[in-house]
Amino acid sequence: MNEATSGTLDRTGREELSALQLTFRQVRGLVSYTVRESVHRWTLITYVLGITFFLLLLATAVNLDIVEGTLAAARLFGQDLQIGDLNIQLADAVRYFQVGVISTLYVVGVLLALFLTCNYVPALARDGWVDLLVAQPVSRSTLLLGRALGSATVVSIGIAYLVVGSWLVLRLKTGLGSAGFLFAGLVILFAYAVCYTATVLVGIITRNGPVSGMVGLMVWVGGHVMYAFHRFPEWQVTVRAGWPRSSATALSEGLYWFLPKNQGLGELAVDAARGEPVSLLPIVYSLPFAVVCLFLACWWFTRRDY
Amino acid sequence: MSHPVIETHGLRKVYKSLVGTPVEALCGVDIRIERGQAFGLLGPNGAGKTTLVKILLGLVHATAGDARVMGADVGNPAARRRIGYMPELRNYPQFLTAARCLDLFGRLHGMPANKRSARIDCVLADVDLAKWRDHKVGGFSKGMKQRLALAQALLNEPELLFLDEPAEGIDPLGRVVVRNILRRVCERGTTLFMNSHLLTEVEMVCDEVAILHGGRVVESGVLAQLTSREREYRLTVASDMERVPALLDGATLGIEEATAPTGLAAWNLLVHDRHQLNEALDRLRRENVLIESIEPVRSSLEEVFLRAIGGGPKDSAKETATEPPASPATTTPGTVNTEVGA
Repeated sequence: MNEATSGTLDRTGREELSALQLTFRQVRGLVSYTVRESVHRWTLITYVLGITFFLLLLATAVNLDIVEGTLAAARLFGQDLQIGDLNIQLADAVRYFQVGVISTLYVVGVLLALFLTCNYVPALARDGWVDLLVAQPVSRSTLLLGRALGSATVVSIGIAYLVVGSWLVLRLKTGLGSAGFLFAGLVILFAYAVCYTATVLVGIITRNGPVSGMVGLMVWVGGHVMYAFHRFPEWQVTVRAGWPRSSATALSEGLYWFLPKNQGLGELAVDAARGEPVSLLPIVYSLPFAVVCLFLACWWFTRRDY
Repeated sequence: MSHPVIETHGLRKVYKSLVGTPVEALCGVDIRIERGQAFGLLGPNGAGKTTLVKILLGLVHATAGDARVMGADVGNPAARRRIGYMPELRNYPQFLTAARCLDLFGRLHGMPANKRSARIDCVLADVDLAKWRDHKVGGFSKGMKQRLALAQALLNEPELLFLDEPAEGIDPLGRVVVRNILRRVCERGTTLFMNSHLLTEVEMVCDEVAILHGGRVVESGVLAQLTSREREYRLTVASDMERVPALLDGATLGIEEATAPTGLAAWNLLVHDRHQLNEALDRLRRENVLIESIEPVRSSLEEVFLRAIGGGPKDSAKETATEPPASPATTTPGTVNTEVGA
């Protein structure tokens, strides 16, 4: 959509915009403002510098000798790595590497992203700024969702740079690299976004960055813990400590189904990186949590006085 | 039939909290402001001024009553496309440059990129910040931030401009700059809603005022009418100064000498009505006394304000006869469009 294009003008000389066009421009503005803020806070710069260092390391330090599709030797910083008689197929080596990157990114990347973006919503809601924004011709829901989308954009830039960069390096060095690896990057972004909705909700209520960040981390960890209780019901016996079995099970199962399916999303990402068939059910089951959190956040923001 | 730009009926706001007693900030406020007016909202601290402004801007939800701005309900964001707002407390992101900051507000108003850029240059030039266009807001002085706030409020060429304490915290020179900009804005037909406790600023810019006290409108109307004293006129003569009191003996209810520039003499005349005043003037003219001027004696806005909120002596106006104050920028005597609240 070309922003410079003039539409029809109303009687006061203002461009007549449909609600959708106006919302699109507003959201673009909010995303752009959030990305600028991330640059100012060094969030994005730190991301990009760290990932660039990793990609340069990958591109320059790792040398692979491939003989008839088999990894004959590998060198790191010029030092031979013992491959021995393992007879590793190159495709397997690339797959292992992809799984390693995705697994690390899934654990470290999501936690880091939640930590780095937890202050964006409270910063939007600070006195003297939120009232200025709310007094503009923008709905409060658009303001909040635009800001959240801006945070997700910052994180997606980092994830995309790392995943696409690694994928390109692999393609250049080995000629291999699966599309599933790229898809796994999207799954990780989704996992972050779902947990981040809890951060948005608590951030708009408390206007406190650290508290909202902690809640995001708790949702992240809680999703895994509840999976464990769901997967291994016998663990509940140890933990429930005198609770009636039925209520402990109901609580545990209720939380499991309510919280995002972080374990399932992780498995989905790893399966995608391996190039294996994947099930999208963890995405489907995690969506309601995100929708509920965003709905509650918008509802709270809309009814609050500033 | 023209619709009022702002109209409220029985507006109430009660702030509730989990602990403590509820606070009633507004208790049934009725106001009506027509297009093109420069309206000043006055009141002591805690009178409910900011609450009223915030309700009109959709920042605070009214407990009861209704409020319409530009013909639409205050909760409708679309109505705010034609409104500018300069808040009292502004906390612009320090990392944005002046131009980037305004660009965000332009986007929120749905302005296209080409128009946005032109308007940003225009409003920054208006507030004398053009050379600071690409400097970060974090490095701005308080006065510069004030001017940036005004630029932001003017960015969308508003038909209605809300100003919350526009002169607060800036030096006299900065106030003159702000005042001149506001006068230009008024001349273009923009309706002004100024909330301030700096009475002189309101007096110099606004033509109508309302005084809010304890959440109620206790006084309102055209500024010139509120400040004029009933039946009291200032007479200045340029000749026969010694004879005037004798000539007016019995022609007025009272006469009191007032200060006048060198070469002239002045008296405050208390009369029944305009007929008696004109008869007194006829008597002077028959005796060839040269009349320099005759004008109603006005109270200062401060006196009106203190009377309205019961913070000053009832007859303080009479006890402290003053020079007529400077005329407001655009005085439009006529109907009083602002109704006194319940």
